[in-house]
Amino acid sequence: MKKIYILIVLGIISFPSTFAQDKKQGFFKKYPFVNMTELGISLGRGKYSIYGGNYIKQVPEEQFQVQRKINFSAQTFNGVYLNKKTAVGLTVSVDNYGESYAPTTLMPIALGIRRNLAQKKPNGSILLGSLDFGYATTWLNEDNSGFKTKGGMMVSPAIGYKFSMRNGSAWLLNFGYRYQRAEYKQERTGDIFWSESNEVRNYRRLMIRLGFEF
Amino acid sequence: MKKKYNKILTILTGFCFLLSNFSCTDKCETTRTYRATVPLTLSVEQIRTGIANEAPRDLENPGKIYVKDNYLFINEVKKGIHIFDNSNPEKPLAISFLKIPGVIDMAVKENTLYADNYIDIVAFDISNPKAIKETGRVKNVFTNGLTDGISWWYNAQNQIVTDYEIKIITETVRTNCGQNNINPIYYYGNPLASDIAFKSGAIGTSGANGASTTTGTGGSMARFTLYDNYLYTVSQSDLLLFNIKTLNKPTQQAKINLGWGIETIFPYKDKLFIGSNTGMYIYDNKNPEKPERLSIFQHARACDPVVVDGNIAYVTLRSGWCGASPNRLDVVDVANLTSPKLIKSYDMQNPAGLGIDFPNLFICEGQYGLKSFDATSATDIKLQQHLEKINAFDVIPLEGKHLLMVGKDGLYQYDASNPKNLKLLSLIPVKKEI
Repeated sequence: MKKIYILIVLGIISFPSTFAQDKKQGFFKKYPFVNMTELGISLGRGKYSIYGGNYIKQVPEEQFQVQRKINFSAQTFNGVYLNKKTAVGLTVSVDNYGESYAPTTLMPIALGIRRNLAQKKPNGSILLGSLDFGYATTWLNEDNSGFKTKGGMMVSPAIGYKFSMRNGSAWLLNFGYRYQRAEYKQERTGDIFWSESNEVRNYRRLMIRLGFEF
Repeated sequence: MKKKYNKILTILTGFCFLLSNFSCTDKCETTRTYRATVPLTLSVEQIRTGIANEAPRDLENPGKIYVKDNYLFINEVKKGIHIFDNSNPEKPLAISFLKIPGVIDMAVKENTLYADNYIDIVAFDISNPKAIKETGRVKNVFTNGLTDGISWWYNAQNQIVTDYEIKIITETVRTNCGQNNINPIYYYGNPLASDIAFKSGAIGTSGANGASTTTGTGGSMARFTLYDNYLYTVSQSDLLLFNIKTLNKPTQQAKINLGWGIETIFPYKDKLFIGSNTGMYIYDNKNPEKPERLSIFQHARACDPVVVDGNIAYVTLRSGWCGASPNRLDVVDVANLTSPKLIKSYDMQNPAGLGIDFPNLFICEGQYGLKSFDATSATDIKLQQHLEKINAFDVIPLEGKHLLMVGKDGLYQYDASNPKNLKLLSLIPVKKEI
């Protein structure tokens, strides 16, 4: 089922682009197709209680440990220019969170808007603003047994530069923020400890992305 | 142009605001629920005044069972005793709940119920089970105890008993988003044991408790038993004798050191069979005031309820909290009490309590259910029926082909007139943990 979903999404993404290559007429003549594909990293921190469980009650104050987090992120935006400056479309990302021993891969599908905010010189670099809002799927994720990851809301604003090239394509450099909600639920275990848990995850990351537009 | 820059400025300011407001620190909070043992201190006063007669309540963690006439006593481990009217085994009626802190064992003679109250032995008048009165008390008899793998002890200096209780804890902890700390649970005790070192064991058939018919029937893994004018109790290391000539005023008579790891006491005729986790002691009880040790039948370290019928003792060994050993049934010839001999061992799955109503032998196999055997020949014990998919810990075969069986899910009563086909009469269910 997961794979079918992925195929459908990929199909939707690739469908307009195949059109765009061949015949620039009709709908795509009026609203030119645009693809922005970016790769990057998400930077953040983790802050967690050192002493879990009952032990908390034995220390006078809750103690925290802070940890640096750097994770991989990729996204592709496919849309159309409504006018010369504004493009709208669908953004599909693949975001990785967590370390090698507890990886979580989320695939948010979002509505995206891209707008050229300023340009000093014609053919010069452009200040680009973007905003994506959507919901993360877990289609690419694999869970440990007994656990289930659930996706959640994603909001990602960004600002960056667009360096246009002569052939109409452009390089992109974006700095942004990403808020991503997810849940990680453990079913009740059958053993005598009888434990269950639900972790509500609010990922809040700084994004640095490099990509191109055509 | 100026207008445009203003707009950009607004967007940038907004962006900065967003960054500063939400920061880049992941926030992950885990809400988890689990069972853990938490310490609990009780003052001697709380223990002694904690006794109360209450309305019937649901079974939660049933322990030992005891039968007297038409009454059925079910221990709610360390909480109290459920009293049922069992004149109709198909429909046992809850009468009342006697709240006794720290109660594990009980015994009944005529209208007097003896129970432990952590450190004390208490006698109750139960002629009206709805209004039970405390009539006597022997103070400071026990100093420590062990149930379900959890031990309690008494600090005489501070007059405090420290015990542990299994609690369901729900807490929210800030975590590292699943990268570690997934299960950082610190257990004080070992709740693992609670499943294994369970409760009562085997049972004496009626009449086993001496000639007296005024006493009830309890488990032989019970640590309390009545014989003649005496109440015998075993602590971890001692056999304690109480004189109950005046039924409602027990007095302590003697203390006999038995060694360590004493678990059960089973009286048969004028002998006492005492099960420890290293062997079975046989005591001569001709003079009830002064039992004398005749012999020890040693085995591997294990939990070992014992029942005796005729010249044959049946001992189940089970791996678990008491020690590691094979799961099996040992059939021991005790015709010569000074030198018991092993006749044969049978493999079992996880035997706990057992009961004999010769020639029928009933063995509880924990999560594997209840087994009914034909023990006509000690060298060839045959399986007659295996009730699976029930949790069985302890069984009492009563005269009149009536079988009581307690497990995790409650108290089952069977019609055992055909030991090949036990018929379920009723079930007193245990309230399920939500």
